[in-house]
Amino acid sequence: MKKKSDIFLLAFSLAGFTVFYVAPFLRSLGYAFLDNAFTKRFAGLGNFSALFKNEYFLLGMKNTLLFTAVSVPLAMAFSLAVSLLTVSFAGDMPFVKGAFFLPVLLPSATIVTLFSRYASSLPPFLALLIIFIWKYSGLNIILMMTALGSMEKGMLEAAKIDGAGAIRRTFKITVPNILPVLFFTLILSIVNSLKIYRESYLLYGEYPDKSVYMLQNYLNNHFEKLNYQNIATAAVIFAAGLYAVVGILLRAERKRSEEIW
Amino acid sequence: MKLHALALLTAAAVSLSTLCACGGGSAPKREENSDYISPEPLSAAQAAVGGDFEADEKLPVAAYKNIAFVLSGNTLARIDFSTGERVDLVSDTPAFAVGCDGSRFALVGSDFAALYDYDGKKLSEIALEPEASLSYYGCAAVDGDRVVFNSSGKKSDSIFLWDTKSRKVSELPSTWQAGARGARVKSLSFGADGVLYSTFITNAEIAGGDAASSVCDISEDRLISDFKLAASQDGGRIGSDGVYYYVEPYAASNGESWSYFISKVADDGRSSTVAMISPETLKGPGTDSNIIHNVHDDSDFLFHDSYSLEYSDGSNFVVYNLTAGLLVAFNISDSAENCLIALVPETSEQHWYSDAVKELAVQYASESGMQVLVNAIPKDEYDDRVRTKLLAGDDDFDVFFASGALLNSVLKNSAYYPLDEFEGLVNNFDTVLAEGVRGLMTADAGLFGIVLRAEYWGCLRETQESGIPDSWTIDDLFKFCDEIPAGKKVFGDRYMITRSVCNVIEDMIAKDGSIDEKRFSEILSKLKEYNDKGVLCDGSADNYLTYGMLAFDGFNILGNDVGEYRTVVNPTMSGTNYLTVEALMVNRNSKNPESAAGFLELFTRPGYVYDNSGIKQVIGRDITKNSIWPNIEPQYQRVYEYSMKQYKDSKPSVLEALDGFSAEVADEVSLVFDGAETPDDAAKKLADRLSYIYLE
Repeated sequence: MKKKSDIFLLAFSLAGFTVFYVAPFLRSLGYAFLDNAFTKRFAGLGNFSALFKNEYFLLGMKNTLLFTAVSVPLAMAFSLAVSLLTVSFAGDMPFVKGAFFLPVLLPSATIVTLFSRYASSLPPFLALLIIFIWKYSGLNIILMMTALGSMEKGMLEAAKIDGAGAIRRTFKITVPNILPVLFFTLILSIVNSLKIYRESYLLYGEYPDKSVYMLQNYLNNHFEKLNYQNIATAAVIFAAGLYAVVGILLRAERKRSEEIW
Repeated sequence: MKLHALALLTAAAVSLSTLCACGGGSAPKREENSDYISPEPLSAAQAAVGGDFEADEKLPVAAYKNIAFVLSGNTLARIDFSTGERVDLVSDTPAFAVGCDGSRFALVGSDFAALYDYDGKKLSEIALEPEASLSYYGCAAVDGDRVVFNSSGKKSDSIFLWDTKSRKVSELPSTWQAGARGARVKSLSFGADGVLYSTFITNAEIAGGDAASSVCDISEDRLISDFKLAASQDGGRIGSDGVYYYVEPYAASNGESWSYFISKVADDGRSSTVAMISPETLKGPGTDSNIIHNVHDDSDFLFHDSYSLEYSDGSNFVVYNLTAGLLVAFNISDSAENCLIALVPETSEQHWYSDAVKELAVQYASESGMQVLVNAIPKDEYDDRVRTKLLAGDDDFDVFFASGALLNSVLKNSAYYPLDEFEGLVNNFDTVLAEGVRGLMTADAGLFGIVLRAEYWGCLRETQESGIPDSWTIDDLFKFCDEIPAGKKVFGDRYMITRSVCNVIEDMIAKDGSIDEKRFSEILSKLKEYNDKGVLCDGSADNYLTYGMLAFDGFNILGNDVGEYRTVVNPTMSGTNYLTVEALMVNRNSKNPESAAGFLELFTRPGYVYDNSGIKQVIGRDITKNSIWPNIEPQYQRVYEYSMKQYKDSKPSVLEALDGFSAEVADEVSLVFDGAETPDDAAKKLADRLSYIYLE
């Protein structure tokens, strides 16, 4: 009986997933092999090879990956440090959590209005980095603080009695204990780093400084040029890359968990 | 492992969908288009009701779908359009206004209001206090137990609500009048959701000024929208769907027929047609609608009946032909068969494109029996919405307007229906339109559309004695600068240089697909050198040339005072002219490409092409056939003749399709001329920028 209800409940989720994610994915995949969204002639791998020769696609890809590679570790480290310090000194105070979470709730337009005065005097990449850390670290901090708050305190006290210092306790006990949450926030940060395009677009427009020309700039501009085959191909390439990254991370996390437990 | 696979698939799919969504906001999808309703099949019924148009006497009328109530004299009659039955229900009533819903009607007089069922049985009645009474003419509307009516005060109207259940009459809040002080109620109607709507006449309109209309949700005391109406949009009302509809007569451009459009006005004042109605449907026997040729300015003027819309729900309409004393009820279905849909951009102030399309739509309907509905899309949304529809492969439109970046992307992707197979149209390109126009309107996939406007940047006020050739290159310009007499300079201002530099860039793009930085820097250096000498554009010397954007149609040419001077196109590198082109094209997925091409063919016929009394299209091949040619002064004739030649070897401008690039060229020219930047740096910046936005 329970199984039937499980399947019934799962059916809605699967239907939504199929209609809103799998079907568009497959359709986009189809476009990637057409020469043109209008003439619809089969182009084989022509779009893929053309895209890898397109300097602006490569620039957008490079900048997007670079931004993710720089911003995500910084945001993670910052969030973890703030969480540890806050839990140590202020405890699990709802007000503190709320204060950290506030930037997440702000619309991009508001953030850009706040930052536009300072953004012009900073290198664009740095300006976006600051906005990203300020906006998205709050969510990480909330999750990390919650994980830290629910951790078994006895282990830390035992380690302390055994003479372990604060740094050792942090990296040998605290971090391994909240590893699943850290992994989740890592995935979340990667996804959020791809969303920085909104702030970039509002600050610098369709054709920003080349240091912050993201993959989404390329996609958006090619929509205006009706080059849907380019958009689809670029998206498929990026999705494949992301698939690989998430796969590696999942595997590493599972391996690490097995080692610990 | 399976869970991990699912997680990976989810992550990939989510990321792909997110990325696709970045492309203009959405992946291709079929967009629900509620802006038009096809008119077929149309069923209509007429009923003579009287009224005296000459005496400005409009009988109080209320209607609901196929039922109408008419108050004539002191008698109220019910008309059933479906059966033609007319029944007198109430007699000897001194009422001034009548309103109704689907089962009841109300009469309002100077000191009473009464509610009846459809058989004339009185359900409720109330005496009105003097401040709520009607003194002359008013409006009324009914929604179940609620009756609303207006009362004319000294300065403005008030609207009263009579709740027949509680038997209370109360004045509705009047903050809705703030947007149009002194406004008088013109119509009252309830929406299907019970919201009360009203339109108003403002003092300005009463005084003969522009008409205006506020659409209000009176029951919530909330102004929904407030917009000006063109004179042709008067006489409408807000339907039960909350949309303002009106009747709009249009004459065909050939002056041989006319028709009526049932149109609606969006909140921002844009107008879109929902149906075309033949003159016979709305015209009573013996009325005298006619197209009168105006000898003075060679235009046609449509003399037509006066109409008032009495009911609308988006599908059913009741129109009061005031001139004929006729009520007409008709229904339009939501079927999209047997009509053409044209998409045009429009703002509340600009109706050029839709006017041009509507004029020929009337002609096309009279010739083919097929109707053309004009779907106006806000100008600032137009390109994105059409792009989305094109990418989604939508087949719910047949003809669309394209210019600038949209035109450029449509041509690059062959996202149009090639017109080469339509002999009549092609023949007109070869025999009617000026030489070179066909080449201008041909891209990789073939003839892409008909040209609505084609403009070039040229110089005015250029004397015959200067020796500037009809077509000159940038090297000719340098030579001219070398030989220029003392006390003279070439251009009136730097903008002419900007346009010339743009021509150079267009040439470079056409040749190599990018800016040749070295050559471009040399040209900028020479221009700066001549400018520093005071012979190019800066300085106090008399100039030969000033700028003007000239269209190939008579209107713009006549709009510029060319005086005794001639025009010269801006210097180029190769002799190719780059024209700003606006086109009407056929949707690649149209269900009726033959009909759509047939409609476009009207734009190329001699009768249309040689009628240059308005802003329309390119001039014809035999310039002397132009209807206004005999009246044109010789100096203007020279402009026409010169413009004619510019089609040859011309191409649609690419730079005009790159938003803001011309402005960046102007900035760079200024920086170079002011010494704030070197020509090398300017060339590099523009080359980088161009590769960014053009070659990306």
